[in-house]
Amino acid sequence: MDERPITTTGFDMEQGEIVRVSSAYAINRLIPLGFFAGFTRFRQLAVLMLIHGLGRMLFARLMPHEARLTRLYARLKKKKQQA
Amino acid sequence: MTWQTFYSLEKLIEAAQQQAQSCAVISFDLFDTLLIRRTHDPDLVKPATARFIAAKAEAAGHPISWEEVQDLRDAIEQEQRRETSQHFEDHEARYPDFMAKLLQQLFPDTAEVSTLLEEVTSYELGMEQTMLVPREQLVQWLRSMRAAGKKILVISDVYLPAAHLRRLIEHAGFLDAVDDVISSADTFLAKASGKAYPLVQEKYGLAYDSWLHIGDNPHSDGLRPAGFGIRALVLRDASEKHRKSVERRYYNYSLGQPFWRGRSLQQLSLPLEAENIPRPFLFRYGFLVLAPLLAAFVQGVMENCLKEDIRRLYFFSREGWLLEKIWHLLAPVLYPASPLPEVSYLYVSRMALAGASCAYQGMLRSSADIVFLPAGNRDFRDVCRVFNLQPEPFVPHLARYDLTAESILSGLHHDYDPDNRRRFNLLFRDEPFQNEVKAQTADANLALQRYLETEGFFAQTQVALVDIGWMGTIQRFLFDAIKHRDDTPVCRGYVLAATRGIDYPEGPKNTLRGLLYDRDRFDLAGSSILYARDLFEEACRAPHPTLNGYGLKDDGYELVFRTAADSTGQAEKEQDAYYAPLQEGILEGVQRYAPAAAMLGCSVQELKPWLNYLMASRLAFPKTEEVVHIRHRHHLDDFHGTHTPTQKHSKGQVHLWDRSETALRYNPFLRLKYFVLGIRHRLRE
Repeated sequence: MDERPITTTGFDMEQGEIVRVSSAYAINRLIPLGFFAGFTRFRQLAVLMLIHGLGRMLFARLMPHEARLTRLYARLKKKKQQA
Repeated sequence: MTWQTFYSLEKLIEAAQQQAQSCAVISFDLFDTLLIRRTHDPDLVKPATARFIAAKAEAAGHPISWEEVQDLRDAIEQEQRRETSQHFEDHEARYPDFMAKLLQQLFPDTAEVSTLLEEVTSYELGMEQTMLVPREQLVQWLRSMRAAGKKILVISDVYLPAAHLRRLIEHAGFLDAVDDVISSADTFLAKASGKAYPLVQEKYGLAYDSWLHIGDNPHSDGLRPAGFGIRALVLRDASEKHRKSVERRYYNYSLGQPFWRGRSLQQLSLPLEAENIPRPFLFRYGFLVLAPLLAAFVQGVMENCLKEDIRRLYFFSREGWLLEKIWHLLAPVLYPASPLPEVSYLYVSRMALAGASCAYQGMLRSSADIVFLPAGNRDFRDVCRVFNLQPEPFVPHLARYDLTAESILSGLHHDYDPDNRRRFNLLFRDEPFQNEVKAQTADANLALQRYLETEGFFAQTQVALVDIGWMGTIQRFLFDAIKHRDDTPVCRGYVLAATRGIDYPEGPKNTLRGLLYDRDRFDLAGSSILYARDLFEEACRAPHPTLNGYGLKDDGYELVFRTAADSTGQAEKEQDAYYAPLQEGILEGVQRYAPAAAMLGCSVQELKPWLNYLMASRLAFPKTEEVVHIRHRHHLDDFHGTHTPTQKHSKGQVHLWDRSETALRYNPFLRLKYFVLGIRHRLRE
């Protein structure tokens, strides 16, 4: 097998651990694999897959707009809290 | 003058290179510029220090929770910041001041807290050091600028004084390339208010127009220096934002979903920057899979020793060799102020102890049953081989029960007659037979006792015995060999996994507990460890040959090791060489595990869901390449005989990890089939 760095460019454990967690999650829905203390939520998995997979590209694109995005996020959060 | 903002390090260095041509001085911000933090939140280091102080306070007779220590520290620090703000524009604090005040409050009986303060400071800086990584490209550029004759300064707004920052930079390896380090904690004049810049200008006689400053904060490192006419470059690194965002998510998820705690810990342990170089597969597997499993096991042993107040611990050879190394890596970081037991390595083996265990009580039926568990053992000659007995003197005893040394006693072999086994079992009540056993094993037992006396074994009232697994045979034989003595200590056995193929004879003075898996507790995912027991044995094994027995020598003893010169010995050496990168990866992984676990304050119980996932996904549902590359080339086990069982039983001995590469690659349901079979076994148990 090739020599590879342990941390991937998406800051995951080598060979994409998050994909492996997802497949274990899927198998666990069919047949109990054991005790995982609630395992994970689907939303968490989706967010992590997105951030590991596309995060590099997204952050490079969005970083120049960080200040505006932060303001927007704060406004949306405030709105949500008020609602 | 305005400042420039860059979103990648390469572009910043490119611009800095141009600007530096007309500059004599280059100043750098330290945190998140020259040094990046593994954590998304720098304050995460503080609870580890609070736990350290709480342990110290408890030892000094002032029990207090770490949360209370943390609250008190925060309150004192805030108070100092408030006081500073009355005289200075910046609300700065100084670590030695507020920490000394905190320690004075917590340790009122201690007249001089300076020693304690140095201890606490060293611990906190040690934790900081493990969480900081030099940004390789920028440090290289800094070195090149220094070589080009530029004055290099490091300016930081932080509560640590410059002397502490120097220690951090020294650990990061570039203190020799820095002219001076300036911290706001020393003067309470910070970059945030801009007061630090005139201070530095005056102190070093600098010209603002030939000064380049590089940092990550648009306000402190951009707006403020630009206001004085300093050329300022601000790095808003998208890659770093991405990394921290990932880390933060794992951390936040772990607060609500226990499953992610172990993953969060592993995220903190991942190598970054120059650490993240290409590694061979075995190294990566050791680092990512075996290191957390073995480190959690050793951490579990520590937790149990503290709970049971055990003051002496022995690691059994040969797997204990690596476990002891792991212990020494974990102990100073995880429990720096707790009374952990003294540890040492004990030369033992099943083969060496089997005979010695019979000297006082004779041969037990349960001990003989263990011999016939491996399919390669068939007859009384195998019993003699394991217990180191001469078979010839037993011929008349066997003959009394219509048996010979070659009578088939294992149900896994052709021509097995259950009546043979029934008659063989009668021998355990036969006094002449047992007398012969005792006579042949007396010397080995005496030599063993002398060895244990030398190791201070009998000087304890309670000892912990640590081994990789699986049935606790070594501990069983050891306890049987010494239990006749009045000074035998209470033996608390801790193994990675307890399979208990033969019931373990537990009692008040002799217990055994599997920490990652124990058959006595139903744990489906944990039982995945049974798929690849040899992997753990080989991965942890010491590079010296196995112990064959204990011999008497004058008034002492001698340890008799197996020869390493024969083909088996050579095969073992070959296997050791093959697994060398795996062991290297394990040790490096443990080095990273220790500070991450100390910082997150995770117990093994909290990590168990993730460890279960690691075991299930890597051992029960492995990738084909993993099995092919990891499974051992040679596995020596003198306990196993050389006889071939019936085809039916041979087939039963083929496990997932023994299957061919073709079967693993092209049979889509193979892993599922074995897992379902595993569930059946567990339910039957």
